[in-house]
Amino acid sequence: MVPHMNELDAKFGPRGLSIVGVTSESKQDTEKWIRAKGAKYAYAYDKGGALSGAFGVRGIPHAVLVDPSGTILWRGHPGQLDESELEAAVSGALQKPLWALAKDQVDLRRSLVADDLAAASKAAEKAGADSAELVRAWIAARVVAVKAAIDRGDYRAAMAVGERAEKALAGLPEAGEVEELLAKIKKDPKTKEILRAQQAVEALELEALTAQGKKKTKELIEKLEKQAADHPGTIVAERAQRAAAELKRRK
Amino acid sequence: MLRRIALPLVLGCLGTVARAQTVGSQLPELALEGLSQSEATSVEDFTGRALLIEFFAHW
Repeated sequence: MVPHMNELDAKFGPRGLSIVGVTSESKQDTEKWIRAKGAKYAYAYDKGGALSGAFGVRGIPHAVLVDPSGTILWRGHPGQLDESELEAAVSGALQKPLWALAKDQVDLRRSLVADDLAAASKAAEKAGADSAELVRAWIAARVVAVKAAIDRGDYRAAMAVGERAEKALAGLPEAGEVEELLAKIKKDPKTKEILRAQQAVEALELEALTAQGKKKTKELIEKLEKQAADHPGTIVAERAQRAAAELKRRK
Repeated sequence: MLRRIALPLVLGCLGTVARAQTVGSQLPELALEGLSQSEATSVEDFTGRALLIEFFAHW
C-alpha cells in the first residue's frame, strides 16, 4: 500500500489532501518500517487501538476519507479508493495548510479552527494579502463543496456540509447562498426521497459493522440490494451495492 | 472543518461512536499521538484540508 499512498500524496497533496497513516504498533518498529518502505506521508500512533475501535475497523489496511468540512466521504480498503472520491474530497480544500501560516497569525488561525469565517476575514485583512486570499478561497470553497455534493447527487453530504457551512459563514453574504441551496433540497420531493434512502442505507451500513452470522448477513444484503433496485442510477444504489458487495466478501 | 482533537475516545457507547463513523457523518473528535513526518502537530492543523486516514500494520 505504501507506493500507492505515496502516489496519492504526490498527486493530491498539493491540491489539498493530507494523508496520515495510523498504527497501533510500537514506535521503534514503525519508524524502522516507515524508513524501509519509503513512506513519505505523515503517520501517528493509535495506542491500544482506541482510534481503530472508534471507527469500527475490522481489517487492516483500512482507510477513511474526510472532506475539508469534516464529513466522512468514503471508507474501505485503500486499494479500492477511487480517484473520483479524492477529486470530490479536494474540491474546495485549502491548498496551503494552516501550519504554513506565519506563526504570528494567531487570531486568524484561531478563527479558522473555530470555523468562524467572518472573524477569519477580519483577522486576514490585518494579516496581509496572502492571508486575505487564503480566507477568500476557503469561504468560496465552502459554497463550492455544497454545490459539488448536490451535483453528484449526494444530498446527505450536501446537507451535512451545507449546515456546517451556513454556521461558519454567518455574517457573510455566502451564508444566504448556502441557505438557498439547502432550502431547495428540503423542498424537492425527489431529493427528499434520496435523502431518506441515504439515511436508510447508512443505518444498514451501521448494522453491517457489527453483524454476526449468515442469516443476519443475508438479510442485510437483501435490504441493501432492495435499496439499490429502488433507486437505480443514484448514489443510494452505488453505496448500497458497495456495502452489499463488502458483506458478500465477508460471508 | 476538522475540529479540535483531543480524543477522549472512551468507547463505552458503541452506538454513539458508530453513528460518527459512517459515510456522510461528521468525523468524531480524535487524537493523533506522535504525529510524524508532517509540520502539523495536531489534527487542528489539518483544518480546511481533505484528510485520508489509513490504518496500517507492518506485520
